[in-house]
Amino acid sequence: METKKNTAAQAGKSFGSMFKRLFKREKRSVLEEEAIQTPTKMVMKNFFRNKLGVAGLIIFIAFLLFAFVGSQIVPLVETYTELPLANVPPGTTSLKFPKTLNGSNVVKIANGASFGAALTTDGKVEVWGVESNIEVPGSWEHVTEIPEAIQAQIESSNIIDMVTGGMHVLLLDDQGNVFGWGYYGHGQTSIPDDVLSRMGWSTGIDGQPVKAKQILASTNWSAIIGSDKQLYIWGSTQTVMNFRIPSAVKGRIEKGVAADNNIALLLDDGTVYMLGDPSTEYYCNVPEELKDGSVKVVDIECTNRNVIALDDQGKLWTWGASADGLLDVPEMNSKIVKIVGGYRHFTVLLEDGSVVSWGANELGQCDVPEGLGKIVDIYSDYYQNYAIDEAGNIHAWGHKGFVFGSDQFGRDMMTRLIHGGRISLTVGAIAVGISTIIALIVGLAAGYFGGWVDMLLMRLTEIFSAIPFYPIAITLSYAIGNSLSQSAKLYLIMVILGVLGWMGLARTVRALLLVEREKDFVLAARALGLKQNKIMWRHILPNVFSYVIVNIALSYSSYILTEAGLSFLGFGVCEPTPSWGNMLTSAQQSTVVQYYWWRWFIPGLFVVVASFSANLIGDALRDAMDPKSNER
Amino acid sequence: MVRYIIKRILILIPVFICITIMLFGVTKLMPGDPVRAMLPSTLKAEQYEAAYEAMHKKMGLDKSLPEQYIRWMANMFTGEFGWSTNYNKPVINAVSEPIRNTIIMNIGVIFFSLLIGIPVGVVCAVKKGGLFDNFWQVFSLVMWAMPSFFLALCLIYLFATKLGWLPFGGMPNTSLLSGVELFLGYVKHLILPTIVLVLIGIAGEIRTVRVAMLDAFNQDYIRTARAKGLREKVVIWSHAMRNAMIPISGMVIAYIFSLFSGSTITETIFAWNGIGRVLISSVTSRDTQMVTTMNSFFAMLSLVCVLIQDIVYCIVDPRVKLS
Repeated sequence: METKKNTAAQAGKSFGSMFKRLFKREKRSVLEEEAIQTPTKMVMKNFFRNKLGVAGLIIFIAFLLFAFVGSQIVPLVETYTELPLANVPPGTTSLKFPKTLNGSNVVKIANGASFGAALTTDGKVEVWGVESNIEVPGSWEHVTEIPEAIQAQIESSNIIDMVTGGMHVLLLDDQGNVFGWGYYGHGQTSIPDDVLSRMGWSTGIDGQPVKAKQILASTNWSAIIGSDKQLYIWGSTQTVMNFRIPSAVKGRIEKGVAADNNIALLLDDGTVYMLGDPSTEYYCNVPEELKDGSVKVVDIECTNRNVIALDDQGKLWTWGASADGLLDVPEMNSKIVKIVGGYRHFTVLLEDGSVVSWGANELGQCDVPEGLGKIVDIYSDYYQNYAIDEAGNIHAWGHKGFVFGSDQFGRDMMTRLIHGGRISLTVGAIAVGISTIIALIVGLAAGYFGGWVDMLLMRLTEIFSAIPFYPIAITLSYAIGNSLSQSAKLYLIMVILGVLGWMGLARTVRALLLVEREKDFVLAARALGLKQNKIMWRHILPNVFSYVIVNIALSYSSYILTEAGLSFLGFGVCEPTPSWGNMLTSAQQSTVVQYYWWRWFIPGLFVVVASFSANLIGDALRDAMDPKSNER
Repeated sequence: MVRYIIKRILILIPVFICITIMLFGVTKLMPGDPVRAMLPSTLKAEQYEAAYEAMHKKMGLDKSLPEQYIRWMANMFTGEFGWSTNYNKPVINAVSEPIRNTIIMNIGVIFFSLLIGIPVGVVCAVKKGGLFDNFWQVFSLVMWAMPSFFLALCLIYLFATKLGWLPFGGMPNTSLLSGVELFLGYVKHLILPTIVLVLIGIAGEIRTVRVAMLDAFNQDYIRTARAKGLREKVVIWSHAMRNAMIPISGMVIAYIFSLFSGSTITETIFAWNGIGRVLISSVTSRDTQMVTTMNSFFAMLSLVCVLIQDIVYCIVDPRVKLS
């Protein structure tokens, strides 16, 4: 029967079958003449006919998947920070070196937190990647675009060395000139006059005037080791103040390696000397053997909080912070040729051409790709690694850049958007649940019992309506939330949103109940002898619930906005737990609005689109449930 | 009519008492010791002890909670709002300037949003389904989902940082400027916040007005009016509008009052020293008496709003009196 009907309906579309049906009528029962649909089916059909509603549903489901499935895939460590990567704009080009560099024409590769630079055999400098940390004008120029003056200088001189700090590049030519570009907030990019004059007072070991022999760069300062084996340092005075260079090392420095607040020096007798911030004692406790000269060190390298030294026997010595497992050197099955240190990891090239890497791996710094072939040279700093194989091809791995940029603590905005979405959408959903339940209880009780119950509940509704939302929500959140744990605060926000938002729905439910009760079909039901309870549950309430469902969708949309607003003001979900709203909190500072657009625009856009899609769903549901509303 | 209004006021009295009890409870939940905040920190230990006791007694904190509540209410009615520890002056003086600033900001918003919102809503209803209607429908749908802070940030980014036409936020300097210059200063600082609040405000207004007008158009008397041969202008603005006034007037009053307690976010973003912004700084600096006073002010405001709504309903719809 069912299939017959379907085929008839299909065939009915063509004229021929219509003709056939005119004369050869199938027998149908009375009910089949017009297909009867359950209200739910009808609502579904009406809903899916509404293009805007379907679009809203698709967008909303996409957001749900993004937030809830995404948060299962991408883990979030709430306390994780990566300060050198603070305020990096969106972009994934940190590892995308120009392909022209392939083919054995690279002298050296160096990289900052999110950009890279290469010195080629024909004396050119190539730069790629994302700008890190855009600062206020007057302290910063694009590091990924070589300024014209510098370009001219590069072309007219013979560059022999290049180093990168967190946000600037420094070049050394064969005449001993040092110049650079990038972040110059502390004058890092050129040797200041006082350093030049101090260099003028000294003479090199060859009797000639002092020239720069090695250059060093950190984020806020730069340094050179002169031909007199002395260290000259300039830049951010705050850390430089601590670099008191003792006379014991003057004229004895062979090599230096730079961390944010420290320098490790290799002296000409093979001992190691540490300079810098004395508060980082874990950094300064150099093994005794390396200090007294019983072991001769041939090379040193450092991360930000660790140093590694290679002695002439091929043995590795490590000291510093035990975090990230940097002190646990993995087993090497070959002799070490070269060590390079990133910000929180070490990479080592072995004699057999293989590469070993260990340390922090949040950004994939230690994920050495498979099948590299025989590697002849490696370079690494901060979060990227570059390896050159026998054919001169470059292989890169590590931090690629952030799709949505990073925030002031160097945290990936994408990860926080995913987990913030989970929090924001959950808070909204539970708040809607709480407010709907309260509204249903109050509205139904008032409408059903009437009399003094109605009177009392309506006064209660009036009291709550008179409460100004934002002021009271802010006060309550501060007053109660102050003494709560992080997760309890989250529940507090849900409860505040729910408890302060049920009044409108409760009034409408009561009014609907009163209106429906007087309708004819209720009278008919009563005339049929149905019990009061049954009339209530089977005949009246379904009509009320359709309104409630629409209201849930619409108020969900507004709760997403309200949560974002409260969190934006700093009275909603608190850091370090992310939510779309509190990711926007920093936009209260004008510098963030001005220079770091991705930090407020992207989370804001997510809030708008999520709320908009919920709104579309609500509107479409209302139209689907109440065909009369289409007329509006 | 007078009897009806008196009846409404009588109903509002218990509501008012309940709200003030709740506000009192919230105040008691505020962290921090209000007595300690009142005392100067320069006192010596033993002096401090005595001063603390005296102040504790003077503020009536040694009494039971109901007694404290009654005392607080009595103080409120006699205009004694207490001392603001954040501003270091009486609350009544500390509050007056922010209230003035908020009113200054909202006058323009109310004017422009009603000037745009109501006519546009009416025209949308008249030309239902047309291009004009569809445009404003989409507009109000988008603005409905638009958080004020996001709109504000986008406008600041565009007009203050990229184009540099308008200031980021803040207030004109009232001590340096005067006369026309001061007025222009206000205008310059108010353009962006006004645009934000007007755009978001008219979204709701257009929706309400449009629906109210469409409802009115569906009534029989409109058909009668048209059948009588009345001009369309008269039908719309006299017959339909008159009846649509009931929901519209309610919406307008609620909108005006909501501006005062709801512009907290806009004031914060534009650093406009209005009541919303002052409330936030008072909450975070634990200025208990300031917070309590402002919250009571907001609650009073919304009760007054309800009352005015009732009175206006009574005027525009004579049927209300009967029920």
